Amino acid sequence: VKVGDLQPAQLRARLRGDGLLLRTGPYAFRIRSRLAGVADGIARMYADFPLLDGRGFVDFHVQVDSPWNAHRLFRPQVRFLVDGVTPFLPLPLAQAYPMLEWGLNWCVSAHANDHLIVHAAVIEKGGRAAILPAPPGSGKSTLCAALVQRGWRLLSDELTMIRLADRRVTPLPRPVSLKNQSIAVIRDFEPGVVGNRPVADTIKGTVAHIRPPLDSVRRADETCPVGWIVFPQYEPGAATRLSPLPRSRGFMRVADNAFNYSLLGGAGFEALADVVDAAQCYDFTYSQLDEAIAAFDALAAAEVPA
Amino acid sequence: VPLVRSWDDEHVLFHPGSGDTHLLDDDALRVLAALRAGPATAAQLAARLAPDQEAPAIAALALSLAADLAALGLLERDPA
Repeated sequence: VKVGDLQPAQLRARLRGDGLLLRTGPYAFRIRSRLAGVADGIARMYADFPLLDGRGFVDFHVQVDSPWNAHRLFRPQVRFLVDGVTPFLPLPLAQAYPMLEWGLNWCVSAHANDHLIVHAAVIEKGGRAAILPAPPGSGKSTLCAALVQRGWRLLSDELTMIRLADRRVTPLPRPVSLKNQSIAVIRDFEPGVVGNRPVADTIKGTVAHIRPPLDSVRRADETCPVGWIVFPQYEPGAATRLSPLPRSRGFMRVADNAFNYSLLGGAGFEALADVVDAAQCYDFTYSQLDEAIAAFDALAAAEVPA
Repeated sequence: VPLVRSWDDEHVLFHPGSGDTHLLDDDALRVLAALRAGPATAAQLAARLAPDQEAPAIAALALSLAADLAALGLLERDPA
C-alpha cells in the first residue's frame, strides 16, 4: 500500500489522528498535522512512498501545526515539533509544507551520526554516486532535478549520507527543493514533472518541491559507492566545462560542507579520505542543462579507473 | 598523533587536539616529519631536511614554514 492509494479524506484523517507513518531511507517518521497545506503537499510529493503500518519502530515523531497564540487571528503561524520539541521559530502559515521538509532534513542532519552528512545533492548511475556539494545559488538543486528527470537515480537533493561503516552512500530520496528561477527552469525542461504550488517569501525566496522519481523511491534501500565529487557552478551563458580538481582540494571543500565533520573527529576524516581516495573530483561550470546532462552521462559511461 | 592522507603533492592533516583539518604542501609536511624526531634549532632542522645542501638558505625557509605551522597550532616554538 502506498501513500497515493489513500483517498484525500483518509490521508487527512491519518494526519489528524495517530499520524502518517512514512519511511525515507533508513528513517521512519510519524507525521501529524491538521493543516490542509501539509496534507496536500504530502499527497503530491509522497504518493509513491510505502505506507507503513503502526507497529514498526518510529525514529522521529513529527508534528506541524498552527499554535494557539496571539498571532493566530491576525498572522497565523506554523511550527514544527519533533518529539515534542520545537527546534525552529514559527513561520507564516503559508510556509507549512516547506517547514515540514526543512524539519525532516533537520531530524536527519542533527541525529544520524553513524554517517558523515554533507550538505550536497547526490545522484547515482551505473552503480556509482556523484556528490554535488555547493553553496546556495550554485545551481546544485536545479542540476540535480534535471539529472534525475533524465535517468540518474536520486539519492538525496540536500543531505549526502556517507555511512561510516562502509563509506557507501545511504539513499534518502525525498522531494527535490527548487528555489526562485529554478522552478520555471525545471518546468520548462520537463513539463511532466509533478511539483507542488510555489510558496513565496520564505527565507530562501520562493520555494517549490518536486516529486522524487518512482525508481528512486523503490530503490531507497540500495546503497552505493561514490564515483565522483563534482562542484557545480551555474554561470549564465557559460560553456559547459568539467575540470579535474586535486583530491586534497576536493577533500577540504567537502569537509567545509559537512554538518557533522567536526563532531565525528578522526572517524569523519578517515571516512571522507577513503571516499575522496576512490572518487574523481571536478569543478563543473554550466549554463545549459542538456549539455550538463551529456557531461554527466559521459562520466558515467567511462571505465571505472583502476 | 595527527592523521595524514596524501594525494599527489598535497596532503590533508587532521589534528585531533584542535579538531582542525589543514591542507599542506610537501615542504610543510617534511618540516613536520623532521620534527617528529624531537625539538630542533633552525640549523638542526635544516640539517635534518637537507643534509647535503647549504644550510643557511634551507634554515631560513624551514624557519618560516615552521612559523606558519606554529600559527596553525601544529608546532610549538620554544620562546628561549
